[in-house]
Amino acid sequence: MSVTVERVKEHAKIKKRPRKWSKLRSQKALMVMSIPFLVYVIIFAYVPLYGWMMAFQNYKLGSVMLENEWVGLANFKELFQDENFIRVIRNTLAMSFINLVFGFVSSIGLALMLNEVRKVMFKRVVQTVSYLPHFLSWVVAANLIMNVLSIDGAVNKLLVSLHIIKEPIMWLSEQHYFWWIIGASNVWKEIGWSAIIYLAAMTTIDPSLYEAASIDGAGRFRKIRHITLPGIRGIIVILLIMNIGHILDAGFEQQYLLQTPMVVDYSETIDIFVLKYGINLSRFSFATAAGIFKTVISVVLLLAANRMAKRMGQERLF
Amino acid sequence: MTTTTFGRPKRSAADLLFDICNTVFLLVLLVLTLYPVLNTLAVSFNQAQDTVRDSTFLWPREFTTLNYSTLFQDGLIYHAFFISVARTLLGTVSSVFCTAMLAYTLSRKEYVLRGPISFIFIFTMYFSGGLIPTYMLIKNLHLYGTFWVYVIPGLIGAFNLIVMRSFMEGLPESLVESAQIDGATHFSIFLRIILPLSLPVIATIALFVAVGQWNSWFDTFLYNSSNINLSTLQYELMKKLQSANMSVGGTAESAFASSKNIQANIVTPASIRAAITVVATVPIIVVYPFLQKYFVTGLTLGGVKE
Amino acid sequence: MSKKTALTWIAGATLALSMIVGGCSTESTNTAAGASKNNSAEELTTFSYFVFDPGDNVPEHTKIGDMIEQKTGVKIKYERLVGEKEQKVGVMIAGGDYPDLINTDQTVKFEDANALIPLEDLIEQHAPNIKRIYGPYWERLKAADGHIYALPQVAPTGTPIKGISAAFWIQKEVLKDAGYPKITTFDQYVDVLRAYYKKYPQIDGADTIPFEILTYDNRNFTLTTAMQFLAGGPNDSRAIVDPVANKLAFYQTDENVTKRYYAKLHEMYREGMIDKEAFVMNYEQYLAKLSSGRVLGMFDQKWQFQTALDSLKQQGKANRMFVPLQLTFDDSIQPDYLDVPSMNYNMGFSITINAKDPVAAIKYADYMASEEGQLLRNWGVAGEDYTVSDTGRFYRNQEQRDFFADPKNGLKTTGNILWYWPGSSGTMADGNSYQQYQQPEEIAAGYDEMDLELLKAYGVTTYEELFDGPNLDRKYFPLWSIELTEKNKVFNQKLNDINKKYPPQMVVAKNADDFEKYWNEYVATVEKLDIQGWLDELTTKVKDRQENW
Repeated sequence: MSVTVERVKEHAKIKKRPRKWSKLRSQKALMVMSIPFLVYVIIFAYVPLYGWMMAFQNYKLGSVMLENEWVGLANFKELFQDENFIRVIRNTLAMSFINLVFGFVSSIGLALMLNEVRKVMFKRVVQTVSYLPHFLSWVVAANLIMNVLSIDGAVNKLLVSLHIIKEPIMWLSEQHYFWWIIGASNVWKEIGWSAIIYLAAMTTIDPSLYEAASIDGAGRFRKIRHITLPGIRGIIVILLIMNIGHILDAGFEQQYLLQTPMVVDYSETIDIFVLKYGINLSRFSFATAAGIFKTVISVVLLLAANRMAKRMGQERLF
Repeated sequence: MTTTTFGRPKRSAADLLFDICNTVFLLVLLVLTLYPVLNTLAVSFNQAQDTVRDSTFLWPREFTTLNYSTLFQDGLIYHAFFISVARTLLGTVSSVFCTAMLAYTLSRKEYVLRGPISFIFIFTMYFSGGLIPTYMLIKNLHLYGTFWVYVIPGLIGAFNLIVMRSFMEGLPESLVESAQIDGATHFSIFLRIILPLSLPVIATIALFVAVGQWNSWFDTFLYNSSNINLSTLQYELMKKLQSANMSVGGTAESAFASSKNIQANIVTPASIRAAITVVATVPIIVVYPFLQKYFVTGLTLGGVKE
Repeated sequence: MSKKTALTWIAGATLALSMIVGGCSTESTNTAAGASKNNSAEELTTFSYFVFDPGDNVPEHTKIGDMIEQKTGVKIKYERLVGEKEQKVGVMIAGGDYPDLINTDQTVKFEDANALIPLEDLIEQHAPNIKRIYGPYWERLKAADGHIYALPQVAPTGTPIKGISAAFWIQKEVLKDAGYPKITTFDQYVDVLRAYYKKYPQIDGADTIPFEILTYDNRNFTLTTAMQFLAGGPNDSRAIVDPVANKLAFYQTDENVTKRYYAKLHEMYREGMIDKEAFVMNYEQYLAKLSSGRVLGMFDQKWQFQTALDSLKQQGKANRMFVPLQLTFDDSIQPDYLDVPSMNYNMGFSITINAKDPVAAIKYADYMASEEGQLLRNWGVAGEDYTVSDTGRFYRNQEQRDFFADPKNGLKTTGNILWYWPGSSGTMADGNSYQQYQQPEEIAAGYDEMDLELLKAYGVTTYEELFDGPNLDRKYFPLWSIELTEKNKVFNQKLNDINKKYPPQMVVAKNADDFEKYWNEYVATVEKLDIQGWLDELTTKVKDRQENW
């Protein structure tokens, strides 16, 4: 390895001479390798955006897009004026935020812990098993969760036998538990899956760094703090920025399946709202208006997060 | 290989304590994540009506393979399995290759279009033109009713692209520069140097793409639902699930003669769903160890010679 | 080196695979276009038929299907719904990719997109059987523009069939223990449940649940509409209709109906008679509780808990199965539980503009509606699939019943699809039922000794006889099938949301004052909606149906 690096450094010195023509040629090669994909993404992702016109129309199924009645901002007005709108946004933001924090902390934590395991077999088994819940559909997962949280379910039995609580608690009937139940169940289902990406990033850390640290007498925690975490900081920041853009995507399936009549004020997300008042009633225009609203918020947050990362001298998206 | 196995033979007390805590914690996680898997497996092999009364068990109480035989009763599912394998292979290989290539160009700091292209891709994560315009696009591109509709629309995902780009940016810049001086083209640098060095991230992204491909049924629903030759495994499984739902709902057609006999050969959505989960997950578990070695054991830069 | 070869290998395999698959897809289009090559299909006219109900793949060949194909010279290629109905309708209409024939409850959307052809002239000229069956309902079949676009599955004919769905249900064991009392009011029902609960606080080692309520998601109508039956209304919607005076009463905020019911439930809850978990469990947990045998009673529609009945039977707990009761608030109210025989108008079988030969299509549908066609579709072949007694009654012998108890055999025989054609329900001229599962002999065959004992105690031979017949004045029935404007669809959704939240709070309220508080909040919230606008639209449309039908 060290040999390679030295050779590379030598070459780097030689390279200092600017050569315009080679740079241009180099740009051309890069363009050949990337512009076809630019065309691709414009066709497959941007062309369908003409569908956004629907949000300003009273779209009728089967009609030609431009022939529909134009209604201006009526669909947006209806969205913002709905008395449930604020509540739904509050729930979405709260659950997204909890998921974001819990999700990041838990999966990075798991990756760090797995990285510290000495027995390869144990490491492999834990890693494989911990990502399996990702493959359960939320329908299956929600049933399990509801059984575990029921009056005679495992959680109540455990807490009662440990004398932490006296009476079994109906977890799903308490409004203020709901967000946390969503957060916890999300961690349980996705922790192993999300950790994969960090494990992959850790493989790029130069082992000689650990070696050197050990010789200096650094403990495990110091090595984690000063070598492992900085080694994966780039990917953490990138994922964080991208996820901040998804803050309004708290989903609907998980909440829909776990909600009970007792907690509806805290469980409905914007996606559930759009599903009920848009798609299920075939009101495509209303659903599209909600989609545009979400996109606008996403893009604003994304740009802000990216700017902040830039200011703090961190890795950034663009 | 792993970062901590070498070193001194004796461990300090703090080190030992750390290992114990770590192991205990991971064991708890193991139990918590193993439970749903075993439960699903048990339900899938348990008689449906028996599951209805209580579904919290880890070993089949009334063993049956009926849930599985219901899934595999018509021969179409084997062909669908083949299509699913094909789309997963082809879709993953092409997507990973294209994503990596594009990610490489975007990882080049000197590339003038680096910013704009990144920008344009990243935004696609946050909007959608909606179901109907996308459907019309696929029709107009004549991808409707073909196999390629499984491969092309999902060729490059923005998320995967950015992860790959970020990984490649972390590779030593000097490797590329020295190769350039040796007269290598960007394409051969990508192929010979960057691709082999990126195996951990490639394995990760390949896993993400493959799982997405394998589990996808919505594109079959939209574009190939009438074309039985291109039906996928997940789509056929979905049919079985909805069919089970329907017979519980009780249309006239499924209201079988009331019989005093126990109807042991009826399935319920819950039991079918369990069997489907198992059928859909097993191939992924089988393939996983082959990918896993790339990001658990890890590769070191030093091991690769240009 | 190994990496490089691996890469080459993968690339090679991918290429080979893509060629196979590519070849496969072109091949498939070839066979689809040239299907006539194999067998004598040259004379067979082929129609594609999309059925908007999920189900198993329809086998290429089925026993009855092949017989019909031979008789008619027409082949049907069926496709069934997978996934979300709304999405499928959306893309089908957007792309104009209609099959030749469709069967859907979304007919209005297809009409709006001009995707369907009017059927009335085709029927007059080519379909005498359909005309005979649907003739009595001709006006009702017409869409807003005066054309007929869809034929509902079955038109009532002969003696109407009584079918119990919505009811207050009670465990057989509870009735037996109480000595088979006559129960007609809700209060009596609660008293019987309470008495049994006091006597047996536990069943099979678990706490007895005297009354259970299903409140999960949209299934919560078992809580929020049960009171209409107690007040003498039918299985309608959120209004009780007086068909004679043509008046609709919104009962959801009515103190004498809805409040009365919730107040009673509130008392029961405080008394411990209602499952504590009634408002935190999902559908599968509900079924599990019913299947455990410790639930004594509930209000529900039978199709929602059939799975639990199957499970009880399988566990050998037939005595814990449920029996339907028609209850009212008091004896002065006439119960109205059974549905008026009706069709889902403006839904069902349609021919699209893509069908090349509509005449052949309607002729085929007419064969399916003929006596011969219907017998084949519903009963099968005499002597093989069913038996005819000396007196001419149809039934299945035990062997035949066991055969059809296995869903696989049903699939082999009919493909589980032949129901989706125009036809009749009710009785034929000879008194047999058109539908096998409605034949009294077939229903009675499902009864065990306990059923027989129970029925004998009440002096009847079937459970249906325990119920009063439907009120035939309700020509408009059912209210929920009336297509509303978008504004009032939103009203319904909003009311559903309110109903999801408040009634559970009322039931579990700490005391009578709290109950009162939640009730007032509920009423205030509901009254913010445009109830009158909703009532007006329905009143007009009900009046229209009552006059023209």
